[in-house]
Amino acid sequence: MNLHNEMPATRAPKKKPDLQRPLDELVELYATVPDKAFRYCPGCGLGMAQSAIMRAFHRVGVDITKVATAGGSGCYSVMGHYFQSSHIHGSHGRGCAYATGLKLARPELTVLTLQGDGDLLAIGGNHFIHAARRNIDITVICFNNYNFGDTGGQFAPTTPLGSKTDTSSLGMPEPAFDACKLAIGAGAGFVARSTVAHPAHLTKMIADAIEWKGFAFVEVLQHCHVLWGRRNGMPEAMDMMRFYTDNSVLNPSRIPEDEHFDIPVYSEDEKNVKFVLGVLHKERKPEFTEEYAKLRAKAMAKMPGKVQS
Amino acid sequence: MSKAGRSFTVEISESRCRSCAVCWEICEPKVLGWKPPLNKAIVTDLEACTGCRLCEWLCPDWAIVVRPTVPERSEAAAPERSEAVS
Ligand SMILES: Cc1ncc(C[n+]2csc(CCOP(=O)(O)OP(=O)(O)O)c2C)c(N)n1
Ligand code: SF4
Ligand code: SF4
Ligand code: SF4
Ligand SMILES: [Mg+2]
Repeated sequence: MNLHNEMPATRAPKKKPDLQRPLDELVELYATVPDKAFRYCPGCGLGMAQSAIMRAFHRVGVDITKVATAGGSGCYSVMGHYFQSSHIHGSHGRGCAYATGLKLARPELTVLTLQGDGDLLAIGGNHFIHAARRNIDITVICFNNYNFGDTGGQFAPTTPLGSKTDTSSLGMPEPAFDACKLAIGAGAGFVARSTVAHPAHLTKMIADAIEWKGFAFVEVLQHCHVLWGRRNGMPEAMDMMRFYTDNSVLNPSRIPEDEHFDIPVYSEDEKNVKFVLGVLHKERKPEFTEEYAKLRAKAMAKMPGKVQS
Repeated sequence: MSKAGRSFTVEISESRCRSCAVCWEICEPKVLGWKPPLNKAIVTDLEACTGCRLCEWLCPDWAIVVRPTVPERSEAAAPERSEAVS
Protein backbone atom coordinates (compact mmCIF):
# COMPACT_ATOMS: atom_id res chain seq x y z
CA MET A 1 0.00 0.00 0.00
CA ASN A 2 1.40 3.35 -0.96
CA LEU A 3 1.01 5.73 1.94
CA HIS A 4 1.17 8.76 -0.31
CA ASN A 5 -1.89 7.68 -2.24
CA GLU A 6 -3.80 7.36 1.01
CA MET A 7 -3.21 10.93 2.00
CA PRO A 8 -6.36 12.95 1.50
CA ALA A 9 -5.87 15.91 -0.79
CA THR A 10 -7.18 18.31 1.83
CA ARG A 11 -4.26 17.49 4.13
CA ALA A 12 -1.79 19.28 1.88
CA PRO A 13 -1.08 22.77 3.19
CA LYS A 14 -2.86 25.38 1.09
CA LYS A 15 -0.38 26.66 -1.45
CA LYS A 16 0.15 30.38 -1.07
CA PRO A 17 -0.96 32.20 -4.21
CA ASP A 18 1.67 34.10 -6.12
CA LEU A 19 0.41 37.64 -5.60
CA GLN A 20 2.78 39.01 -8.23
CA ARG A 21 1.48 36.87 -11.06
CA PRO A 22 1.41 38.83 -14.34
CA LEU A 23 -1.95 40.01 -15.56
CA ASP A 24 -2.10 37.91 -18.74
CA GLU A 25 -1.72 34.70 -16.70
CA LEU A 26 -4.52 35.77 -14.35
CA VAL A 27 -6.73 36.62 -17.30
CA GLU A 28 -6.25 33.12 -18.65
CA LEU A 29 -7.32 31.66 -15.31
CA TYR A 30 -10.24 33.89 -14.37
CA ALA A 31 -11.40 36.32 -17.05
CA THR A 32 -12.81 36.58 -20.54
CA VAL A 33 -11.55 39.78 -22.06
CA PRO A 34 -13.41 41.16 -25.10
CA ASP A 35 -11.46 41.84 -28.31
CA LYS A 36 -12.59 45.44 -28.21
CA ALA A 37 -12.24 47.65 -25.13
CA PHE A 38 -14.28 47.14 -21.96
CA ARG A 39 -17.59 48.94 -22.05
CA TYR A 40 -16.49 51.53 -19.48
CA CYS A 41 -15.28 55.05 -20.34
CA PRO A 42 -11.47 55.45 -20.66
CA GLY A 43 -9.94 55.78 -17.19
CA CYS A 44 -13.07 54.59 -15.34
CA GLY A 45 -12.55 53.09 -11.89
CA LEU A 46 -14.67 50.09 -12.84
CA GLY A 47 -11.82 48.57 -14.87
CA MET A 48 -9.55 48.97 -11.84
CA ALA A 49 -12.09 47.42 -9.47
CA GLN A 50 -12.56 44.53 -11.89
CA SER A 51 -8.81 43.94 -11.84
CA ALA A 52 -8.84 43.88 -8.02
CA ILE A 53 -11.70 41.37 -8.00
CA MET A 54 -9.74 39.09 -10.32
CA ARG A 55 -6.70 39.28 -8.06
CA ALA A 56 -8.93 38.60 -5.04
CA PHE A 57 -10.16 35.42 -6.78
CA HIS A 58 -6.54 34.40 -7.20
CA ARG A 59 -5.64 35.32 -3.63
CA VAL A 60 -8.47 33.20 -2.22
CA GLY A 61 -7.71 30.43 -4.72
CA VAL A 62 -11.30 30.00 -5.85
CA ASP A 63 -12.33 27.45 -8.45
CA ILE A 64 -13.76 29.89 -10.96
CA THR A 65 -16.24 27.29 -12.23
CA LYS A 66 -17.76 27.30 -8.72
CA VAL A 67 -18.22 31.07 -8.62
CA ALA A 68 -21.40 32.86 -9.59
CA THR A 69 -22.07 36.58 -9.70
CA ALA A 70 -25.29 38.55 -9.92
CA GLY A 71 -26.04 42.15 -10.79
CA GLY A 72 -28.51 44.57 -12.31
CA SER A 73 -28.34 47.65 -14.55
CA GLY A 74 -25.66 50.29 -14.58
CA CYS A 75 -22.22 50.98 -16.00
CA TYR A 76 -20.84 48.17 -13.79
CA SER A 77 -23.39 45.62 -15.03
CA VAL A 78 -21.20 44.21 -17.82
CA MET A 79 -18.49 43.27 -15.32
CA GLY A 80 -19.98 39.87 -14.55
CA HIS A 81 -19.57 38.91 -18.21
CA TYR A 82 -15.84 39.64 -18.10
CA PHE A 83 -15.14 36.79 -15.66
CA GLN A 84 -15.21 33.07 -16.41
CA SER A 85 -17.69 32.59 -13.55
CA SER A 86 -21.43 32.28 -14.20
CA HIS A 87 -23.37 35.51 -14.11
CA ILE A 88 -26.98 36.54 -13.65
CA HIS A 89 -27.45 39.86 -15.43
CA GLY A 90 -30.87 40.59 -14.04
CA SER A 91 -33.16 43.52 -13.45
CA HIS A 92 -32.10 46.70 -11.69
CA GLY A 93 -31.44 46.39 -7.96
CA ARG A 94 -32.21 42.70 -7.53
CA GLY A 95 -28.65 41.35 -7.17
CA CYS A 96 -29.10 40.36 -3.52
CA ALA A 97 -32.37 38.57 -4.31
CA TYR A 98 -30.80 36.53 -7.13
CA ALA A 99 -27.78 35.76 -4.97
CA THR A 100 -29.98 34.63 -2.06
CA GLY A 101 -31.92 32.19 -4.26
CA LEU A 102 -28.78 30.91 -5.93
CA LYS A 103 -26.92 30.35 -2.67
CA LEU A 104 -29.87 28.52 -1.11
CA ALA A 105 -30.23 26.24 -4.12
CA ARG A 106 -26.49 25.66 -4.59
CA PRO A 107 -24.78 26.26 -1.21
CA GLU A 108 -21.47 24.92 -2.55
CA LEU A 109 -21.07 27.94 -4.86
CA THR A 110 -19.17 31.10 -4.00
CA VAL A 111 -21.75 33.80 -4.70
CA LEU A 112 -21.00 37.48 -5.21
CA THR A 113 -23.14 40.38 -6.25
CA LEU A 114 -21.65 43.18 -8.33
CA GLN A 115 -23.83 46.25 -7.84
CA GLY A 116 -23.76 50.00 -8.31
CA ASP A 117 -24.57 52.45 -5.54
CA GLY A 118 -27.84 53.41 -7.18
CA ASP A 119 -28.67 49.80 -7.90
CA LEU A 120 -27.93 48.52 -4.39
CA LEU A 121 -29.04 51.43 -2.24
CA ALA A 122 -31.93 53.02 -4.14
CA ILE A 123 -34.11 50.54 -6.02
CA GLY A 124 -32.42 47.53 -4.38
CA GLY A 125 -32.29 48.86 -0.82
CA ASN A 126 -34.77 46.41 0.64
CA HIS A 127 -33.13 43.35 -0.90
CA PHE A 128 -29.83 44.55 0.50
CA ILE A 129 -30.88 45.11 4.11
CA HIS A 130 -32.79 41.84 4.34
CA ALA A 131 -29.97 39.78 2.84
CA ALA A 132 -27.69 41.39 5.43
CA ARG A 133 -30.18 40.68 8.22
CA ARG A 134 -30.44 37.00 7.23
CA ASN A 135 -26.67 36.70 7.24
CA ILE A 136 -26.66 34.55 4.13
CA ASP A 137 -23.18 33.59 2.94
CA ILE A 138 -22.83 35.93 -0.04
CA THR A 139 -20.43 38.76 -0.79
CA VAL A 140 -21.95 42.06 -1.88
CA ILE A 141 -19.64 44.45 -3.70
CA CYS A 142 -20.94 47.96 -4.16
CA PHE A 143 -19.29 50.26 -6.71
CA ASN A 144 -19.94 53.67 -5.25
CA ASN A 145 -19.42 56.37 -7.88
CA TYR A 146 -21.76 58.88 -6.20
CA ASN A 147 -24.30 58.89 -9.04
CA PHE A 148 -26.39 56.98 -11.57
CA GLY A 149 -23.67 56.71 -14.18
CA ASP A 150 -25.36 54.68 -16.88
CA THR A 151 -28.34 57.01 -17.19
CA GLY A 152 -26.33 60.24 -17.38
CA GLY A 153 -25.23 61.17 -13.88
CA GLN A 154 -28.39 61.81 -11.87
CA PHE A 155 -28.04 61.97 -8.09
CA ALA A 156 -28.14 58.73 -6.09
CA PRO A 157 -28.64 58.06 -2.36
CA THR A 158 -24.83 58.23 -2.05
CA THR A 159 -24.37 61.62 -3.73
CA PRO A 160 -22.37 63.76 -1.28
CA LEU A 161 -24.32 66.63 0.27
CA GLY A 162 -23.76 69.81 -1.72
CA SER A 163 -22.14 68.14 -4.75
CA LYS A 164 -23.35 68.74 -8.28
CA THR A 165 -24.98 66.14 -10.50
CA ASP A 166 -27.20 66.21 -13.57
CA THR A 167 -30.27 66.55 -11.35
CA SER A 168 -28.71 68.66 -8.60
CA SER A 169 -26.92 71.33 -10.60
CA LEU A 170 -26.97 73.79 -7.69
CA GLY A 171 -25.78 71.21 -5.17
CA MET A 172 -27.34 68.10 -3.67
CA PRO A 173 -29.74 69.18 -0.91
CA GLU A 174 -30.07 65.73 0.73
CA PRO A 175 -27.55 64.04 3.03
CA ALA A 176 -26.12 60.78 1.68
CA PHE A 177 -26.30 57.19 2.87
CA ASP A 178 -23.19 55.78 4.48
CA ALA A 179 -23.46 52.35 2.86
CA CYS A 180 -21.17 50.71 5.42
CA LYS A 181 -23.11 52.03 8.41
CA LEU A 182 -26.30 50.89 6.71
CA ALA A 183 -24.88 47.39 6.25
CA ILE A 184 -23.73 47.22 9.89
CA GLY A 185 -27.12 48.43 11.07
CA ALA A 186 -28.89 45.85 8.94
CA GLY A 187 -26.82 43.03 10.46
CA ALA A 188 -23.97 42.32 8.03
CA GLY A 189 -21.24 40.18 9.60
CA PHE A 190 -18.34 41.63 7.62
CA VAL A 191 -18.17 45.22 6.41
CA ALA A 192 -15.22 46.87 4.70
CA ARG A 193 -14.44 49.90 2.60
CA SER A 194 -11.68 50.61 0.12
CA THR A 195 -11.04 52.63 -3.02
CA VAL A 196 -9.79 51.86 -6.51
CA ALA A 197 -6.75 54.02 -5.80
CA HIS A 198 -5.56 51.48 -3.20
CA PRO A 199 -5.43 48.34 -5.36
CA ALA A 200 -3.58 46.04 -2.95
CA HIS A 201 -5.81 47.06 -0.05
CA LEU A 202 -8.92 46.67 -2.19
CA THR A 203 -7.84 43.20 -3.30
CA LYS A 204 -7.30 42.18 0.33
CA MET A 205 -10.69 43.53 1.43
CA ILE A 206 -12.50 41.65 -1.36
CA ALA A 207 -10.54 38.45 -0.69
CA ASP A 208 -11.36 38.65 3.04
CA ALA A 209 -15.01 39.25 2.21
CA ILE A 210 -15.14 36.21 -0.08
CA GLU A 211 -13.55 34.05 2.61
CA TRP A 212 -15.91 35.32 5.31
CA LYS A 213 -18.64 32.85 6.17
CA GLY A 214 -21.84 34.87 6.27
CA PHE A 215 -22.95 38.11 4.70
CA ALA A 216 -19.99 40.25 3.66
CA PHE A 217 -20.15 43.76 2.28
CA VAL A 218 -17.42 45.76 0.56
CA GLU A 219 -17.97 49.36 -0.45
CA VAL A 220 -15.62 50.25 -3.30
CA LEU A 221 -15.15 53.97 -3.83
CA GLN A 222 -14.92 53.98 -7.62
CA HIS A 223 -14.48 57.18 -9.53
CA CYS A 224 -16.77 58.36 -12.29
CA HIS A 225 -14.63 61.26 -13.45
CA VAL A 226 -16.67 61.60 -16.63
CA LEU A 227 -19.96 62.51 -14.93
CA TRP A 228 -19.56 63.19 -11.21
CA GLY A 229 -15.91 64.28 -11.29
CA ARG A 230 -16.36 66.68 -14.19
CA ARG A 231 -19.21 68.42 -12.40
CA ASN A 232 -17.24 68.71 -9.17
CA GLY A 233 -13.87 70.00 -10.30
CA MET A 234 -12.18 66.64 -10.92
CA PRO A 235 -12.49 65.97 -14.65
CA GLU A 236 -9.62 63.46 -14.99
CA ALA A 237 -9.35 59.95 -13.57
CA MET A 238 -6.16 60.91 -11.75
CA ASP A 239 -7.85 63.92 -10.12
CA MET A 240 -10.30 61.58 -8.44
CA MET A 241 -7.68 59.01 -7.52
CA ARG A 242 -5.68 61.73 -5.77
CA PHE A 243 -8.91 62.84 -4.08
CA TYR A 244 -9.24 59.31 -2.64
CA THR A 245 -5.63 58.94 -1.54
CA ASP A 246 -5.42 62.47 -0.10
CA ASN A 247 -8.51 61.97 2.04
CA SER A 248 -8.24 58.38 3.20
CA VAL A 249 -7.43 57.11 6.64
CA LEU A 250 -6.34 53.47 6.71
CA ASN A 251 -7.57 51.10 9.40
CA PRO A 252 -7.74 53.41 12.38
CA SER A 253 -8.12 51.50 15.61
CA ARG A 254 -10.16 54.28 17.14
CA ILE A 255 -11.81 57.24 15.51
CA PRO A 256 -12.72 60.33 17.55
CA GLU A 257 -16.47 60.72 17.31
CA ASP A 258 -16.55 64.18 15.81
CA GLU A 259 -13.86 63.29 13.28
CA HIS A 260 -15.44 60.11 11.99
CA PHE A 261 -16.64 61.36 8.68
CA ASP A 262 -17.05 58.99 5.77
CA ILE A 263 -19.47 60.85 3.60
CA PRO A 264 -18.04 63.83 1.76
CA VAL A 265 -19.83 67.14 2.13
CA TYR A 266 -19.46 69.83 -0.51
CA SER A 267 -20.21 73.48 -0.10
CA GLU A 268 -18.76 76.71 -1.46
CA ASP A 269 -16.64 77.51 1.58
CA GLU A 270 -16.21 74.12 3.24
CA LYS A 271 -15.18 70.70 1.94
CA ASN A 272 -15.32 68.08 4.61
CA VAL A 273 -13.93 64.77 3.43
CA LYS A 274 -12.32 61.88 5.22
CA PHE A 275 -12.71 58.27 4.18
CA VAL A 276 -12.11 55.55 6.71
CA LEU A 277 -10.84 52.49 4.86
CA GLY A 278 -10.39 48.92 6.02
CA VAL A 279 -12.50 46.35 7.81
CA LEU A 280 -15.06 48.37 9.74
CA HIS A 281 -17.06 45.57 11.33
CA LYS A 282 -16.81 41.83 12.03
CA GLU A 283 -19.42 39.79 13.85
CA ARG A 284 -20.01 36.02 13.85
CA LYS A 285 -23.60 34.83 13.82
CA PRO A 286 -25.61 31.87 12.48
CA GLU A 287 -25.44 31.60 8.71
CA PHE A 288 -28.73 31.36 6.86
CA THR A 289 -28.15 28.46 4.43
CA GLU A 290 -26.94 26.29 7.33
CA GLU A 291 -29.84 27.29 9.57
CA TYR A 292 -32.23 26.62 6.72
CA ALA A 293 -30.74 23.16 6.11
CA LYS A 294 -31.23 22.33 9.79
CA LEU A 295 -34.81 23.50 9.63
CA ARG A 296 -35.40 21.40 6.56
CA ALA A 297 -33.97 18.31 8.23
CA LYS A 298 -36.26 18.91 11.22
CA ALA A 299 -39.30 19.24 8.97
CA MET A 300 -38.32 16.08 7.04
CA ALA A 301 -37.99 14.10 10.26
CA LYS A 302 -41.53 15.06 11.20
CA MET A 303 -42.95 13.92 7.85
CA PRO A 304 -45.07 10.78 8.05
CA GLY A 305 -43.42 7.98 6.02
CA LYS A 306 -40.02 9.73 6.02
CA VAL A 307 -39.69 11.32 2.59
CA GLN A 308 -36.14 11.20 1.26
CA SER A 309 -34.78 14.57 0.24
CA MET B 1 16.52 48.13 -12.81
CA SER B 2 15.35 47.98 -9.22
CA LYS B 3 17.66 48.30 -6.24
CA ALA B 4 17.52 44.56 -5.64
CA GLY B 5 19.13 44.10 -9.03
CA ARG B 6 16.04 42.65 -10.66
CA SER B 7 14.86 43.88 -14.02
CA PHE B 8 11.44 43.86 -15.62
CA THR B 9 9.73 44.06 -18.96
CA VAL B 10 6.68 46.25 -19.40
CA GLU B 11 4.43 45.33 -22.33
CA ILE B 12 1.74 47.77 -23.39
CA SER B 13 -0.94 46.73 -25.84
CA GLU B 14 -1.42 49.65 -28.19
CA SER B 15 -4.81 48.41 -29.30
CA ARG B 16 -6.15 48.09 -25.74
CA CYS B 17 -4.75 51.41 -24.45
CA ARG B 18 -7.30 54.24 -24.40
CA SER B 19 -4.97 57.06 -23.40
CA CYS B 20 -6.44 57.71 -19.98
CA ALA B 21 -3.07 58.91 -18.56
CA VAL B 22 -3.36 56.91 -15.33
CA CYS B 23 -0.26 54.75 -15.87
CA TRP B 24 2.25 57.45 -16.71
CA GLU B 25 0.95 59.69 -13.94
CA ILE B 26 1.23 57.04 -11.22
CA CYS B 27 4.61 55.68 -12.36
CA GLU B 28 6.96 57.47 -10.00
CA PRO B 29 10.27 56.56 -11.71
CA LYS B 30 8.82 57.89 -14.99
CA VAL B 31 9.18 54.67 -16.93
CA LEU B 32 6.08 55.42 -18.95
CA GLY B 33 5.15 58.20 -21.33
CA TRP B 34 2.82 58.80 -24.27
CA LYS B 35 3.03 59.11 -28.01
CA PRO B 36 1.09 61.73 -29.98
CA PRO B 37 -1.24 62.08 -31.82
CA LEU B 38 -3.40 59.49 -30.02
CA ASN B 39 -1.38 59.75 -26.78
CA LYS B 40 -1.19 56.01 -26.31
CA ALA B 41 1.04 54.89 -23.46
CA ILE B 42 4.61 53.88 -24.30
CA VAL B 43 7.67 52.74 -22.35
CA THR B 44 10.30 55.49 -22.33
CA ASP B 45 12.81 54.36 -19.69
CA LEU B 46 12.55 50.66 -18.94
CA GLU B 47 15.79 50.65 -16.92
CA ALA B 48 14.10 52.75 -14.23
CA CYS B 49 11.26 50.24 -13.65
CA THR B 50 11.10 48.99 -10.05
CA GLY B 51 8.51 46.31 -10.83
CA CYS B 52 5.99 47.85 -8.44
CA ARG B 53 3.16 46.76 -10.79
CA LEU B 54 0.98 49.78 -10.03
CA CYS B 55 0.55 50.48 -13.74
CA GLU B 56 -0.51 46.87 -14.39
CA TRP B 57 -2.92 46.83 -11.45
CA LEU B 58 -4.45 50.21 -12.20
CA CYS B 59 -4.71 50.25 -16.00
CA PRO B 60 -8.50 50.22 -16.37
CA ASP B 61 -8.23 48.62 -19.80
CA TRP B 62 -5.84 45.86 -18.78
CA ALA B 63 -3.37 46.99 -21.44
CA ILE B 64 -0.17 46.56 -19.39
CA VAL B 65 1.70 43.41 -18.35
CA VAL B 66 4.77 43.65 -16.10
CA ARG B 67 7.12 40.66 -15.99
CA PRO B 68 10.43 39.99 -14.25
CA THR B 69 13.04 39.27 -16.93
CA VAL B 70 14.41 36.33 -14.93
CA PRO B 71 11.51 33.98 -14.23
CA GLU B 72 12.49 33.56 -10.58
CA ARG B 73 9.25 34.89 -9.09
CA SER B 74 9.67 33.42 -5.64
CA GLU B 75 6.62 33.45 -3.37
CA ALA B 76 8.36 35.69 -0.88
CA ALA B 77 9.62 38.21 -3.43
CA ALA B 78 8.14 41.67 -3.66
CA PRO B 79 5.94 42.21 -0.59
CA GLU B 80 2.50 43.58 -1.23
CA ARG B 81 2.09 47.31 -1.08
CA SER B 82 -0.74 48.66 0.97
CA GLU B 83 -0.99 52.19 -0.36
CA ALA B 84 -1.17 52.79 -4.07
CA VAL B 85 -0.86 56.33 -5.22
CA SER B 86 1.15 58.79 -3.23
C1 LIG C 1 -36.42 48.85 -13.07
C2 LIG C 1 -35.50 49.84 -13.66
N1 LIG C 1 -35.58 51.14 -13.31
C3 LIG C 1 -34.74 52.06 -13.85
C4 LIG C 1 -33.79 51.66 -14.74
C5 LIG C 1 -32.87 52.70 -15.36
N2 LIG C 1 -31.51 52.60 -14.88
C6 LIG C 1 -30.57 51.93 -15.55
S1 LIG C 1 -29.06 52.02 -14.83
C7 LIG C 1 -29.69 53.01 -13.60
C8 LIG C 1 -28.83 53.54 -12.50
C9 LIG C 1 -27.56 52.84 -12.29
O1 LIG C 1 -26.85 53.50 -11.32
P1 LIG C 1 -25.83 52.71 -10.43
O2 LIG C 1 -26.46 51.49 -9.90
O3 LIG C 1 -25.24 53.66 -9.45
O4 LIG C 1 -24.73 52.22 -11.47
P2 LIG C 1 -23.68 53.06 -12.30
O5 LIG C 1 -24.27 53.25 -13.65
O6 LIG C 1 -23.44 54.34 -11.57
O7 LIG C 1 -22.46 52.20 -12.34
C10 LIG C 1 -31.06 53.23 -13.76
C11 LIG C 1 -31.86 54.05 -12.87
C12 LIG C 1 -33.74 50.30 -15.11
N3 LIG C 1 -32.82 49.85 -15.96
N4 LIG C 1 -34.59 49.42 -14.57
S1 SF4 D 1 -20.16 57.05 -16.85
FE1 SF4 D 1 -18.77 57.11 -15.11
S2 SF4 D 1 -19.04 55.15 -14.04
FE2 SF4 D 1 -19.95 54.96 -16.08
S3 SF4 D 1 -18.30 54.05 -17.32
FE3 SF4 D 1 -18.17 56.27 -17.57
S4 SF4 D 1 -16.72 56.97 -16.01
FE4 SF4 D 1 -17.35 54.89 -15.48
S1 SF4 E 1 -3.52 53.22 -17.91
FE1 SF4 E 1 -3.86 51.75 -19.59
S2 SF4 E 1 -5.42 52.71 -20.89
FE2 SF4 E 1 -4.62 54.31 -19.53
S3 SF4 E 1 -2.98 55.31 -20.72
FE3 SF4 E 1 -2.02 53.68 -19.49
S4 SF4 E 1 -1.99 51.84 -20.82
FE4 SF4 E 1 -3.40 53.33 -21.71
S1 SF4 F 1 5.85 48.52 -12.65
FE1 SF4 F 1 5.93 50.43 -11.44
S2 SF4 F 1 7.89 51.36 -11.99
FE2 SF4 F 1 7.46 49.80 -13.54
S3 SF4 F 1 6.43 50.92 -15.20
FE3 SF4 F 1 4.82 50.11 -13.84
S4 SF4 F 1 4.38 51.76 -12.38
FE4 SF4 F 1 6.37 52.23 -13.37
MG1 LIG G 1 -23.44 54.61 -9.47
